[in-house]
Amino acid sequence: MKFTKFLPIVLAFAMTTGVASAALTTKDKVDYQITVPEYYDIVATKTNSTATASVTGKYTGLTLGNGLDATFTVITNMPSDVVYLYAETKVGEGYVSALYGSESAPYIAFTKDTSTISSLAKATAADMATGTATSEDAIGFALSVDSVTPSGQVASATPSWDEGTTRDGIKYTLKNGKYVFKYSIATDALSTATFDTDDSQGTYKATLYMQRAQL
Amino acid sequence: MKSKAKTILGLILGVVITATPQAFADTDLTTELLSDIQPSISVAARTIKNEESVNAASGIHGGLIGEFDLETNNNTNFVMTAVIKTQEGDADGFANDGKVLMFTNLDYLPNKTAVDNAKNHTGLSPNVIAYPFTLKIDEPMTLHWQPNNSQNKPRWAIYANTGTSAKLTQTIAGVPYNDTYERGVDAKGQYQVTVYVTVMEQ
Repeated sequence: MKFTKFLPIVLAFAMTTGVASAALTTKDKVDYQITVPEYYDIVATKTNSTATASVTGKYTGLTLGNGLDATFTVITNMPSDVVYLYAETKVGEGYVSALYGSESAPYIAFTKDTSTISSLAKATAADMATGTATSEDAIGFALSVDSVTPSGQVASATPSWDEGTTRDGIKYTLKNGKYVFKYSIATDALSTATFDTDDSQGTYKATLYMQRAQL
Repeated sequence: MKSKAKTILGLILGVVITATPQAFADTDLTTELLSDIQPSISVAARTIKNEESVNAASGIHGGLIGEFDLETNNNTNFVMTAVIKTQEGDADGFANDGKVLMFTNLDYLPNKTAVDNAKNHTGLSPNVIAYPFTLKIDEPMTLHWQPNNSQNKPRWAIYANTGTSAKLTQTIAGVPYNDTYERGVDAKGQYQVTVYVTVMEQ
């Protein structure tokens, strides 16, 4: 009977010290995380992509019935990104690079797909630019860079001329943001050195495109 | 010899038993146990779903859920705060009177202007994305938004109201709040907000 009184005293002491040392957790947290993956989007739009041309002089000039234009809207969420503006045109042996000049004064070559000019990809534009080669059924026009409009707090686009493996073009170094690139070919944009009687009657075509991969 | 040892043992026990105060009668002992119970407070986070991947075209994710188990035996109140990282350091992660949580890009920290724009819907908010935030707590505990308080930090106060335990459930909806997500403007990367629950200061 006396020992049963003593035991609760010991237990009471143990319970008191146990409560005091173990039950104070006063702070905790949760880290909520979301991951935004890489994203980019390039959309091309145009108002006028075709024109009828009129010969002027003694087959020394060419005036387009209307100007041509192209707009590329680019969205990228990558803080360091690049896009390339390229052009290509078709000759007898396939598609070749069609943009030449510089990032501030580019030209674009239009050909009939039966053109006999060099099929070497980069020779086409180079030959036309220097006028060192005959350019049967190939005509050059000045491509106007009308505007490059970035939007976004950090968005910026820095152009440079890029010589790729198979294509030459304008490389734009971008920060994340939205961009609208506007290009046009004016009615009087003919590069006169590239036009003569070697260029026969018919339909001439070039394709302008923008992409992230270098060619 | 054996008899002597028995006598000594008998004396020791006699002293111990005799020394036991009369106050340790059964009723008194019960009273002493109650008075010795110490404050017991516990805050324990239980993560249900705290990570999600965002659809980069829309800014939508699948929703996030977190829970806190709160326990107190002395009517302790709690507070909940949200912390985001910015170029200027840690900042408050709540918006719209605590009904929205902002996330900031850990790889490309936003500046204060971007955070303010997201909070007030006043312009571009690069690298800040906000989502609706809802709370639920078991009764009798209650939640009260406190934009201004002694800690000068917007927060949710959680009053125990004599309750001893409750589960606090946090839900973050998946659709961006107020167009705070914009393709291209918000860089890729990991965005985060940290929600703390702590004991309210006395």
